[in-house]
Amino acid sequence: MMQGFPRGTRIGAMEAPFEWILTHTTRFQGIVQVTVGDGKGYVLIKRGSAVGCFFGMGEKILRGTTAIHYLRSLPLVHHSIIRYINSEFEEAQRLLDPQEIVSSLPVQPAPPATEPGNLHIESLILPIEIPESQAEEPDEDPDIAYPLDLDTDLVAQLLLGRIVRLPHVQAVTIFGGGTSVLAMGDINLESVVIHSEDILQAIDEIKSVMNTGSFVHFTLQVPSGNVIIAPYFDEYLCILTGPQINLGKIRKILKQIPQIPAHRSGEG
Amino acid sequence: MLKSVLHRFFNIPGVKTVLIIRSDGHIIEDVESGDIDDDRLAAVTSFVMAESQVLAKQLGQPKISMIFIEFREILLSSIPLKDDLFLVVITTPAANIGQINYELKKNMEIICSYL
Repeated sequence: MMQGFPRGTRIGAMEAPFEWILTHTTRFQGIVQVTVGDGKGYVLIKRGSAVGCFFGMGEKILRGTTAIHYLRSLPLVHHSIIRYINSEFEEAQRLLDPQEIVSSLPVQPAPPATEPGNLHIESLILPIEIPESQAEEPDEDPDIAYPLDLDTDLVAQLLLGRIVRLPHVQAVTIFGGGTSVLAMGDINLESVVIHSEDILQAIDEIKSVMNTGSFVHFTLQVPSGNVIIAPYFDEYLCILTGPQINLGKIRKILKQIPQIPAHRSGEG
Repeated sequence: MLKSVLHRFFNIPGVKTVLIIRSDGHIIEDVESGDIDDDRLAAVTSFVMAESQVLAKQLGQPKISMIFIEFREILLSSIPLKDDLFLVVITTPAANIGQINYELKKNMEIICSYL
């Protein structure tokens, strides 16, 4: 279906309303593979606007604006997000069938659901399909550079989705001010978050005693597993794991958190 | 004798300071502290350990196995010994966490025997 299109850089996968993807990719260019039931297709996106679209389900083929309208009408679409650099994007544009070109559609303003709780995002993230050979080799997890052209809300969901899929991770949350703002996993971390704030205060005290540099992460090991706390922009990540977790892998992911100014969060 | 056991940690590349502290922040033993204010470090580390104990209990765990706090410039590792005592090791962040973890656990028994 997408044969011939540039491979680009795969960023992650998630389920969300199609409109939500458009409103959260205002700094992004690339292609999004869409799947709904047996139907599959793609949307070429540049800065929150659909440039080209194809969607096929059995004998039913939709192209261009018609395909976009159809995707917008669905409550939930599976998206696999692939980033393109300029040359890749131009190449993809050239490969579009003229019928697939989308006439300009208004980008609807980001819904208040930038507050993730409204979207029940916890239940929306789906695992990226990983070949079994890779799924059993956690160290094969590729380096992912979260691009700056995605807004921080989307990056947060991709990041949490990636962490929660790791073997032995039980739950992960982003928290601030003693409250969890986005969470995924099987365990409610609200009570852990409250105590994590106390630990962060204690860690701040260490900074006052010696030249530590900025805080990178805290790991508490207990017989049943680990609690890991790390900064995430103006907030913090808290990860609860079983005892067999590969901590090196978690640290690697934490190091890949993009260093973009917190004031960009929520823009777009 | 206890000091010589603590000195073994300096075989690990990047180790800067090794302390044994009590939960009230009192220092029992320290080695190679350099320019670090050990008393204040012991006080704040005991504070972190106390908060970590609270979190461990919240998770239904009676005790801590170990904590790591990584900063850009240092890595602090701490492990409970016996009673209300903790071993604290300060290293550069490039130090091998796995090796520190191993050495802490390996030497715990012999350190406890001197306390």
